Amino acid sequence: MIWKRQIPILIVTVVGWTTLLGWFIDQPTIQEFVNDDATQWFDILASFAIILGALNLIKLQVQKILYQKPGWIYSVVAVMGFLFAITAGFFVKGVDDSVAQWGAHVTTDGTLFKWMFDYMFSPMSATMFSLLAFFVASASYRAFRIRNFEATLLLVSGIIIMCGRVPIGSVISSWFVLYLIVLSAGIYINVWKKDMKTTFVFVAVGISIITIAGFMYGWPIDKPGIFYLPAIQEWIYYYPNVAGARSIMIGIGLGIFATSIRYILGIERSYIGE
Amino acid sequence: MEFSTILGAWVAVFLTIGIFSYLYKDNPFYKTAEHLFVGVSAGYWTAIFFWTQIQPNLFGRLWPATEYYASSLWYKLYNVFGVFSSVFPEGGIAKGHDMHLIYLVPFAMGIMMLLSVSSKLSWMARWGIAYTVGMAAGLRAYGFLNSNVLGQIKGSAFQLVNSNLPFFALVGDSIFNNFVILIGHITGLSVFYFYREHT
Amino acid sequence: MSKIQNTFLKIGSIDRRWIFLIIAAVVIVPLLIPVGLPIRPTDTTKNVYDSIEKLPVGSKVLLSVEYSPSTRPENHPMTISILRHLFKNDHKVFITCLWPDGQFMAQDAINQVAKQEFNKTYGIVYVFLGFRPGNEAVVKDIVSNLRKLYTVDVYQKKIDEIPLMKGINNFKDFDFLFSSSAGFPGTIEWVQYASDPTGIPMASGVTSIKVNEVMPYVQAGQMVGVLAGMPGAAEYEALINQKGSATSGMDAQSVAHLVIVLFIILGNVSFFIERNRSKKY
Repeated sequence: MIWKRQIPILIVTVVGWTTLLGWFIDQPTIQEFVNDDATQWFDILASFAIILGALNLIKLQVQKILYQKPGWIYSVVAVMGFLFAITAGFFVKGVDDSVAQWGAHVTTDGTLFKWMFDYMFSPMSATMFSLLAFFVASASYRAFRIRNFEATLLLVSGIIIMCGRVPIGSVISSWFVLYLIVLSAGIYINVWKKDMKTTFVFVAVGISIITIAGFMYGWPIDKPGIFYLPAIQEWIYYYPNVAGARSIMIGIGLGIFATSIRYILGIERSYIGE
Repeated sequence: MEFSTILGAWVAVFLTIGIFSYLYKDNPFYKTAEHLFVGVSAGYWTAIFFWTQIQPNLFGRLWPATEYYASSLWYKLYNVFGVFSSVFPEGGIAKGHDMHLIYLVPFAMGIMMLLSVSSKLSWMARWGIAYTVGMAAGLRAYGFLNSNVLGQIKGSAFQLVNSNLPFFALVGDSIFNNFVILIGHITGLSVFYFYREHT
Repeated sequence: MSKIQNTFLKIGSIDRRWIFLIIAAVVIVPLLIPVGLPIRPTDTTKNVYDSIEKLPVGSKVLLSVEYSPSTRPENHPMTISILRHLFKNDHKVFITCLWPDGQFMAQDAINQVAKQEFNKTYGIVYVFLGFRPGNEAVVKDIVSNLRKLYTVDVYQKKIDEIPLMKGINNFKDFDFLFSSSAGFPGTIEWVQYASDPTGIPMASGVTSIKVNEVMPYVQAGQMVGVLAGMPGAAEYEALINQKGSATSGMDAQSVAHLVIVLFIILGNVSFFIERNRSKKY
């Protein structure tokens, strides 16, 4: 029991305190351990953890094959892929030692491992990620609905960022945006007043004012700046977005600090399943 | 053009189209490509992490070439492992390290982690995990507090009355923009406090 | 009127595979037939450019590559442009990776820029240290004692034998850091454990999704600037007067964004029609 519970908690406490105090105490032995060896041990254990993860993954696939669970044929493909990668990584280099030593063979052109990365891992990784683009488009089509004020704000700022961030936003004149605003306001007034006459007068006056102003100023594409999409999107990024992101950051930072202290004090024990 | 390049191109095209075929409907080609990706990724990550850290920085410190002595018991053990000559080349591992037998500690914890694949020995991984959790907690406590909390609070502090700044500017500092950040910041933080009942 | 409404309702319930097809078409066509829309650098991109321009000749710059093939279209043009800018201004470049895939991406960038374009000598002008696992612990290692972490470079050559590594012991020996990053570990870890505690200036290139997480660091002065996604990469290509894949990708991205906005508007029109009808009945 002591091996399974007390010792892990002791390890977390000792290592956590040493690492935390290493930021503040200038004692050479502590500094040398924290800055050099402790972080190296962490790196080594992180590598073992990744290897453990890979082994667990393959164990699940092998169990699926042995118990002939539904879809077990695909698990054979997974295991074969794993064995191929291990062969390329540890057994078959594909080039002489003069071209690449073991260790350097992972990135050297001409090796089996590099071939596997270039023609198997890389295309699959890129294609898997690119599927997201399609699903985002489909999801935004179905999910982005103006149900309430917050959703409207989300939608409008999303559209401004999407259009303003790309070059096409810089060729959309601010006068076009003004016309759009007047038309949108007209739709809102029509829904509110339910009076065609009022709506018509409002839209007509709005469009006339904008047209006269445009002719007076010579229709500059980026003036008035407050309606120029790239300028608005920059303002949104630098100011309201920073305000929101900063508060989230501070909240998360305080939460992580509190959780880290809980781990170091041994109060939080989720890593041993408690 | 080399055969390996032509073969590789065909493999890449087959796998790419196999994955894209999911957009039409789930199908065996997609499932094959997906499972192949899972298997290859697992092997790829194993190999990369082994060759970039475990072999040079762990084994390289336990059996460095600089202190190779064939008749010592320690290096006799090394020569037994030498059957895997790719990992344990003749004459020790020349990665510029000196011998540090203290690295047997992370080696032992790492082996314990790997043994936890067996469900009976799954508790063995706790020691290695405990070390990584403790270290990550110690690192992150400082890092997040310094940069994410104090650094950001410093960034929000500004002079309320600054005659050098214009009242409003769309791009560039202005009094209005500073107020937007300050008020947005405070209201955003207050969501964390008032949104849910604290128990 | 009701015919128009029915059409909109039909569009609103269209099979999603038609949407996929339209998105594929609007991305492929501009790539094949480029339009050449003008690119206007933003302030954050200009700040990155100016910071590198102001570095004295021969400055030691750490370039950290942490992205995979999945975000290559966004990050790789940034890495290429930054390398071009650094070599043009005769700076010394040290390349590390916090992601394993970053090692391959960095190798491709080095092959293209350092070897083919500029013909720079390895070990004298640039050195490729490679990937080490450990996330933020690797950053901490680089800050405290780089030589204990990297005893050999990616080609397994001892770093003591590399002339450029002379005098480089930790992060404070560098003059600037640029991180081309797609997630964790990446920009945020460099800010928290390297740049902020030591005061060494840093800039970053991130994917569009990560920009709003990173912008507070830019606004607080913890980073000098950020290249925001593929638009940021295209802006940087415009600033260094060397167009690349980011510039050619902007046409496709522009049209795709417009089409998505159109979908959103159509979806909302159909939503309102449906809502009004259900209120009526």
